[in-house]
Amino acid sequence: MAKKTDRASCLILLALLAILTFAVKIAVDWIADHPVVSAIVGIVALVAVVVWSRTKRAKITGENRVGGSTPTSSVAVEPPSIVHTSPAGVPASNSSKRLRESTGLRDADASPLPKTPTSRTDERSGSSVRPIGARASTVDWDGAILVSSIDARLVETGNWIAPGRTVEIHGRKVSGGMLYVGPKLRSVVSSQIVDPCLVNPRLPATKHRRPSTGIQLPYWPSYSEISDVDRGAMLDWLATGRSDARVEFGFVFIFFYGLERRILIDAMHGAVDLAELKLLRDEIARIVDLYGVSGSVRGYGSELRDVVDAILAARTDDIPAKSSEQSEAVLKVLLGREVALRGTISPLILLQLLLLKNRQPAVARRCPKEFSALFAKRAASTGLTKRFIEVGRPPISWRYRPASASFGKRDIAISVNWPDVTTHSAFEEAWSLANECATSLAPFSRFVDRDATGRSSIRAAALLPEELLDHDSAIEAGAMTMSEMFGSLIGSGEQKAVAADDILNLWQNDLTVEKISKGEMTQLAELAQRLGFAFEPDARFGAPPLKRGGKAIVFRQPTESLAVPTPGYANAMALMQLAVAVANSDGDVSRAEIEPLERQMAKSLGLDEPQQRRLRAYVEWLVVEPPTLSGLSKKLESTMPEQRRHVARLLADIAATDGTVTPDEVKMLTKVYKILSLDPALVHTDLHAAAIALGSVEDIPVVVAPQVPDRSGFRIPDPPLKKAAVGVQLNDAMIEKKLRESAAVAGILGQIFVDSDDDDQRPKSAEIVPSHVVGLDNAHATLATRLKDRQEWSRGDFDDLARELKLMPDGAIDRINDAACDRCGNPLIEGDDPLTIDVDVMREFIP
Amino acid sequence: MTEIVQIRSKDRDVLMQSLSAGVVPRRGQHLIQVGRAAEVGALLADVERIVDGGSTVRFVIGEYGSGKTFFLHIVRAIALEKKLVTVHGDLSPERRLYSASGHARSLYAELMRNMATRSKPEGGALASVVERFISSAQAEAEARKTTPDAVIAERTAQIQEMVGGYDFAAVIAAYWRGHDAGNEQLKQDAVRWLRAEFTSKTDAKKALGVRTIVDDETFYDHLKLMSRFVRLAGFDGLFVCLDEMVNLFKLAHTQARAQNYEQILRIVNDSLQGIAVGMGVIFCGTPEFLSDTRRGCFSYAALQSRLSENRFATEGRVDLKGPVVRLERLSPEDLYVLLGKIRHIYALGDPTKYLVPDDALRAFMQHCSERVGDAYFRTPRSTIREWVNLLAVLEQNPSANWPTLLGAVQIGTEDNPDLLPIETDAEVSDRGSSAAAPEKSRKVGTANDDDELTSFKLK
Repeated sequence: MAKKTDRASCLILLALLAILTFAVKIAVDWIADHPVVSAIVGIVALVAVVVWSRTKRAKITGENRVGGSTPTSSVAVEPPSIVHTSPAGVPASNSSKRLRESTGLRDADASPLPKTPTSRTDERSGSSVRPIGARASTVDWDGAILVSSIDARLVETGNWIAPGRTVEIHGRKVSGGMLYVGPKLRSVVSSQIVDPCLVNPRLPATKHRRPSTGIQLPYWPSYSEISDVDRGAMLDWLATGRSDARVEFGFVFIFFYGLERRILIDAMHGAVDLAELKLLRDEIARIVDLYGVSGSVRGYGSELRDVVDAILAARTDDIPAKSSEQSEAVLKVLLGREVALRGTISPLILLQLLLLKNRQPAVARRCPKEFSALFAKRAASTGLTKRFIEVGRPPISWRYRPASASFGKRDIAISVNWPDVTTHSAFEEAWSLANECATSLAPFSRFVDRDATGRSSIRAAALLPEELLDHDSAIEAGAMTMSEMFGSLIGSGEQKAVAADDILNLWQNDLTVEKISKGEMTQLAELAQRLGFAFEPDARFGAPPLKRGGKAIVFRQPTESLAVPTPGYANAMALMQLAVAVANSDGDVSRAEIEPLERQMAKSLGLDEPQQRRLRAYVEWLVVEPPTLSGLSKKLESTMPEQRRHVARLLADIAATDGTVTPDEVKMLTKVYKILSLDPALVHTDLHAAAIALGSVEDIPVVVAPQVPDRSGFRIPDPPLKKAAVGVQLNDAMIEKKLRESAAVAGILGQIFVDSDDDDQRPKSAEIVPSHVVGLDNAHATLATRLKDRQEWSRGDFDDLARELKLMPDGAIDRINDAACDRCGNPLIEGDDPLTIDVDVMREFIP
Repeated sequence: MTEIVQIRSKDRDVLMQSLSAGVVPRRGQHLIQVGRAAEVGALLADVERIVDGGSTVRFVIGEYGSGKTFFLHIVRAIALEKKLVTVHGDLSPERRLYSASGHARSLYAELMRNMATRSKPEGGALASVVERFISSAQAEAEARKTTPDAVIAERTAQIQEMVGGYDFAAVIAAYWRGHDAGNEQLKQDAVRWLRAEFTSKTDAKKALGVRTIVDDETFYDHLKLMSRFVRLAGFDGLFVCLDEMVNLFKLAHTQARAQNYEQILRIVNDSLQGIAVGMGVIFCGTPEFLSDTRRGCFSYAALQSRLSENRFATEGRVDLKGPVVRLERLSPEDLYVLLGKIRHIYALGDPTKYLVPDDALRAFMQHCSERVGDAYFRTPRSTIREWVNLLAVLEQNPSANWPTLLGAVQIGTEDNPDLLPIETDAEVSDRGSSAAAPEKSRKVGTANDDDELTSFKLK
């Protein structure tokens, strides 16, 4: 209807145009001075042309759409039935036609061969060749629709000896079947050529047995074309169960051609039942196992096996081999079928396919179990497994290049109606997800690579991503112990002081090891946090690592709290450390003395709840293990004089905060001022200033005499908003003000204190040889020289070596490779994990 | 072709593997480069301008099979050799320059994953670049007797004022802290942030304490940041290669297309005005991506005026100063030279070990041209693949003779995927947000498109 209307409107417009033009032509004599009229005519003509061209374009598009691709889903819902393409050129059924059009098989149809009117001459026999692929055929098996590019008219199921049957040829009993025996079998491409797999009993074959070694068959052997002697040898091989491993591979191939034909022609057209298909598959697998030494047998054999597997996978869940050994096509079919029938996707098979199509990360090799478990979890949690549901995906199609010359050495296109998941956008997302999983597992995989026995230790568990903590039973056992241990350490409370050894023993039972490294400490802290615990001192937040014989505070901490200190927290820590050090100078730090300061600090530096908890635990730890001021002087020297002055004032303020300044505190401050290279006399000036400032903010009434309960008189009401001053009362507003003032100082303090206990923790530098390598400094040159020892380095070993030399591993590789490129034109270190050393470059680079 | 240069067997294997898979090899491209001296020269000049702190932009335009991707990789290799850091990525329906649903972030992530330096030309060099930066800060700190933190803060000060620079600097500092404290997790998180793998700000804050992430809006800002950063790390600049730009042409949604072209315009403007420092961008696409006035770059007027070619550069006169570089298809002669080079590489550079004589080259080309006509040299991908396969068979079966095998070589025609019916998967996600997109109605095969304008039928 639409087409007609469009055409009608077009005609009307054209007629209008003609009339107007005519009218203008007549009127042109007497309205020659009316340009407006001609302008209107021009516009109308233009509109007409535009409308006409648009109509035409729409028409073309519409036609293309009708003949264009149709979603495959419409095919998939056809009732299961054998859609056997009828032999005598009757057009294929509608569904098969549509499926064919929607698959890549168009290429086969459009291949140049069928177009040439004259038949091509085969270079070997000179006979005429029948085009294959001119008519693809389709079979519907229980909803799985297979399409192959071979003409269905070729099916000749005669001559096939079914598996298990025995035939006698030239006096030899050939048992097991699975071959074509008979007088005639046309090859697939030509009716003039005998199929190379056909065992023709009428052809002569020598009777006597002879060793089958030393026979040379042509590149494309055919039973009909080999000599009598060879035929005899081949029959001997067949009669002895096809298991002589030393036989000429040509015989294996002639037998294989038969299997190939049975699968690609007969099975692809529905003439083979499921049970036989499985037997064929097993036979191919057996041949690949037995004769796999020949690359050709292995190559063609495993490809054909994959075709059978894919056909099986398209129809049934019962796949003979594990998915990890499957080919790309089989995995695609498995996934496609799952999506189409169940609307979900199995993450493990998806991962297999991803790893097959991309470069496999080292993690997949070292800890495949953890890798797939993590991927499965993340795929489920991100909803990836459900994302593949989509109608109208193109079907899975692939090409198989037959070994048999019967097929005219052409590829055969095979396709299955299940959707191809690799074309879905989620497939790419899945690969980035897999990469993320690999990154998350990288530390664990390096650990496992270095120490395979420690796989189920707590140290390994600490490196696992949190999703996996309850995955493996061995690891779970470790983590549970840890969780229980922390639980028992802390009891029912929120926070508890324990011996540092208790925590260290969780990690390292070896008491001779004095300290564990900072890196390991971090891992331990990370693991604790994932279990809902934390402890101070925590190296991640700038405190020194736990020491044997020392103390520690364990506390409960939500798992989702920050793993890095905010600048505010770092400052608070440094200030608290100073405060406790100064407060400690009178030999006794009371918790009550520090607490208001701590609370104020938390507020003014914007610490959230978990950070406040942590700060409380840290202060608690400072109280049980009071810091000393020794060792600070060196660090302080590098700061500017005015910064030091600032710090000093702040210290004085803190000392004065409690309203009284004891002689011990003055002594302490004097010491500190000396350390800060300041005049000790300034202590008094600063304390005085602090005291005045403290008083000036708000006048607090001084208690003359404590209230005595006296029933006879009247009770003086409590001053509004003020609590009775019991003991020392800190001025909160004052502290806040001071803290705000000292914000600039806090930054410096952070730098001074955060790494205060760090020096002895750093790895002792290895002996550094003076640079003898052009373009590298000493440390890098040493590293490059050390690499000479081995040709291959695991990433873990290399990292250790780099750390020993205080170098960053990736940066060091880049530096060294850069220098090697300058010098020799090629990089020295290649690969990711393991790293390989290019021996030639090494020889040139460091002679 | 006759010079005896030792070719490493490792290089050969990589090359041959890639060629037989029909993809551009990642190394050793110079061994098979044929012709294109002027174009390579122009891009070399670009690279040198970047080294001097300048900025460049180029559109490499060529038909399907004309070797755009190959050319891109050659230029990339040059850039690496000149100590630039390169990043490259293909656009796809899921990876674009501008988007509101994470597609630009995903392009950025792809670019960062493919970051390469001379010593790591195969990609994955982001951590190396960061560590190069930090190690040099460490060395300086040692010399000046101060802490690496201080030097890092000092050096990143100049990028802190750029968009997103503050958090960028914080992340670099976090990487150093992670290394210093042996905190692998922190290091990993820092790299993940730089690679734009954080999709939520909450996660980023928890892991690194930063407020922002690399997202769709800051795609280009972060590229600029990265270009400054690589200079701080001791490299000479950043070279950005974006391939398969035709994916923008294929976007069905008019507004989405316009926004992407606007992003290109921003890049072009920055480059022409020299705002970007030490950064070069190459866009690779087919002619319709550039000059289609309905859906290509030329549909965006501001872009068209900047990209129109020099009017005098026609009929053989070439102007390589303009931003557009056009690649011609390979000629049969080029192909002949190329086949010869492949044979040369197969023999590891030793002419006495050639597997086939010169006659075989001609016979092979003759065979191909009989099978598929002119297409064999216009789309050399499958031709070269078959040639490599032929050589491989000959090497494994020294007894086989080449004329027999030649008869069995199968060559199929290649279809230009850009001209096939357009897949509209990407647009499915846009459907909800988009109003009418008139272009959609003219497209072929938009079967799953529910836009009402497309639903008219002809009966």
